Amino acid sequence: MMDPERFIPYWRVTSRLSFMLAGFLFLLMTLGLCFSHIFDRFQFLGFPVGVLLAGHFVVLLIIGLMFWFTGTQDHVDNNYGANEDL
Amino acid sequence: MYSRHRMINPLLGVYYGIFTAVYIGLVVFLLILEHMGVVDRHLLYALTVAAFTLSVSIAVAAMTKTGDDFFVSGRRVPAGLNGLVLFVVSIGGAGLSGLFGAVFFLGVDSFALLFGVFGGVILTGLMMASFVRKAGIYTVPSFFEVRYRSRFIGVIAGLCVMLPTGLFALAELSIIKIVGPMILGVSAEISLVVIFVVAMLIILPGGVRSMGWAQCGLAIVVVLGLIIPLVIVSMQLTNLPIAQLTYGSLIDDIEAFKSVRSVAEVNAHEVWSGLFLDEKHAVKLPFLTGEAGLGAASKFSLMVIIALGIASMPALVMRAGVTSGVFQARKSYAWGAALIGLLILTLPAYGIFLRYMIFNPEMKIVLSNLPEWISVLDGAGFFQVSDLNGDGEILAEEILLSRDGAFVSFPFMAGLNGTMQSLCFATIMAAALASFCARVMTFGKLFAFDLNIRKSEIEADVGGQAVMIWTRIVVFIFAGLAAWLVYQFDFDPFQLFFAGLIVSAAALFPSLLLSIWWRRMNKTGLFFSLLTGVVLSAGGLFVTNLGAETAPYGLDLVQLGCGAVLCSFLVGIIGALIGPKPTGADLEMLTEIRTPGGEAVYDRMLRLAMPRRTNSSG
Repeated sequence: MMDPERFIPYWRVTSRLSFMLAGFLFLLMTLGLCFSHIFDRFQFLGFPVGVLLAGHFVVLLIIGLMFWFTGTQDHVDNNYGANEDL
Repeated sequence: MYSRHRMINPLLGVYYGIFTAVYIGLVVFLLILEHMGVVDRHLLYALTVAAFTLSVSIAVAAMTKTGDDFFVSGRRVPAGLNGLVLFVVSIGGAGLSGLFGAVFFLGVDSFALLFGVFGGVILTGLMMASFVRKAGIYTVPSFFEVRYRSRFIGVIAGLCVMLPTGLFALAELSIIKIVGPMILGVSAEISLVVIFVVAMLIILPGGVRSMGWAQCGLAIVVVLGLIIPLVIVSMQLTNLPIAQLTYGSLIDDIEAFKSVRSVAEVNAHEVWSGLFLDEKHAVKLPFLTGEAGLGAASKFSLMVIIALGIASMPALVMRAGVTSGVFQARKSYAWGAALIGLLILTLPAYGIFLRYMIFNPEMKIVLSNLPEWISVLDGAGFFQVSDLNGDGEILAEEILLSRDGAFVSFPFMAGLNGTMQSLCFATIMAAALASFCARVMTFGKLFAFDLNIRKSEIEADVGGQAVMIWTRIVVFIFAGLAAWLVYQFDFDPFQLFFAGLIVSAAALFPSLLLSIWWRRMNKTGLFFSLLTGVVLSAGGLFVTNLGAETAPYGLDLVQLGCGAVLCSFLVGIIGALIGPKPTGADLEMLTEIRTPGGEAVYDRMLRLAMPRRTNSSG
């Protein structure tokens, strides 16, 4: 088990990353879901822009951020000596 | 020394590549047979039978005699393959057909449901997966038991987990009962028997190991079944194979057809409520609902309650435990989210294409020459046409579809051949089977560990045969009981799926989140949080008749569910503040669960329990 001197800063960074990302992703989904229809009168690639934003852009961005999170959290684990390989 | 790569079989990719190639090869072979004149009826169940046979073969090949393999698949499932399982378990057959129906009838407002499933997998990946993996436990109640070092809390949590798990299992069997007779060409009861037998052949040989590898195969069947027919229809309607990027061009066309075919527009809330009823509906709501849709507050609450339900679904949370480490656990949920994302890109394309085919005047159905498939779908209770104005033609508002019938009607409406119909049918059967197996196994582990009065003996002998035999017996009994219940009573699969999500969200999400992220949380808070969530959500289901009716004061099930989640959080926090402060040992355990490095907590507990048993018997 990690000693408190290392664990406390590690946990501060980990919890901040998890909560901020979860909040940001849900904000993205909420904006895409509830307000994207404002842009439906514009078209891009044959799609109403609102559908394109909610049904494509938000989804792909969130998937990218999820993979970014796994890499970033692993770096955090490494930097604070909490990695499972150590 | 722990290494994240130490145990994963490097040939797994090859095995599933072969599986995919065999399945696609079979599709091509059936296409050739069909071209040679084999009748459609024989093809309809061919790919379902093939998917089941291949999955059972994988399960039998993954037979095991060790407890580690039986309960956590040896903790050597790679992230990508675990992501496939997460994808198929999170939606299941009931969810897939329900979501398809929602997309078809509700238009863009159905993104609330899709984002809910997406958000649920994301929440688990961000907030729970790594800690559940580090805890290393086999069931959600065991997580609470280890976290609070209280057997009593484990039993209470075990009782609370039974309700959502049972609802999810019944939902999957109910969709089999509805679509099975048409797909398999047998009666509803025989369909249930078939699913029961196949599920047992998948679970009994190797528990989580055989089930997990078979679920990977079933997930591949689901992905292929969603993609291939859509590519073909996209080529027919838009001349391009990537439907996800082309369906937008048809939205304007449908709006233009609608003016030709005079479709009345209705209230989006009525359409949403209609999805909970066992009725056939005409498409009345435009795909782009705009301001006339469900409204921001309704969509947000719908998304949130589904996300919380998915995030705390016991079968989904526990998949973190089968990965080789914390990093792989996090990554597997990212893969799961990617596949759900693919579903979000894909299902609207299906919905738009089906609407296009219904509204297009060039594809009109003439009463004097009704296609044969209409009688097939009508006989199955999915589809109904009636010439209301007596003009001899079937207009869009005269075509009535059931929520679960939208998906199975798609290949018929698109004029796809028997092989492609078979591919679509195998999709829904595979999704339902994979999800049902996961629920049944959750129940088996629940009774083998958390609700077993001999738990300490089991933990001291988890590698022995007795606990695995006991789990198999529970799995067999529970699956048989579920099949009997579905045979005796007519349940609505989407209602049950949604009800499971509500109970799961209210009972388990606050408990899991507070247990991981709040140091002050204690067993008093957990006890009251669990009970509040279960009682309020079950009460909500009761007063709304599983969502089919409105509760007093005009509240619907979603609002009641959100209220139950909030109350569960509040009561949990108040209970924890009233109860005793966590002891040093409690906090040490929490710190260990929060730290990725080192041996899984439960693995260490089992390892330490082994010599104790040896000594006492000696």
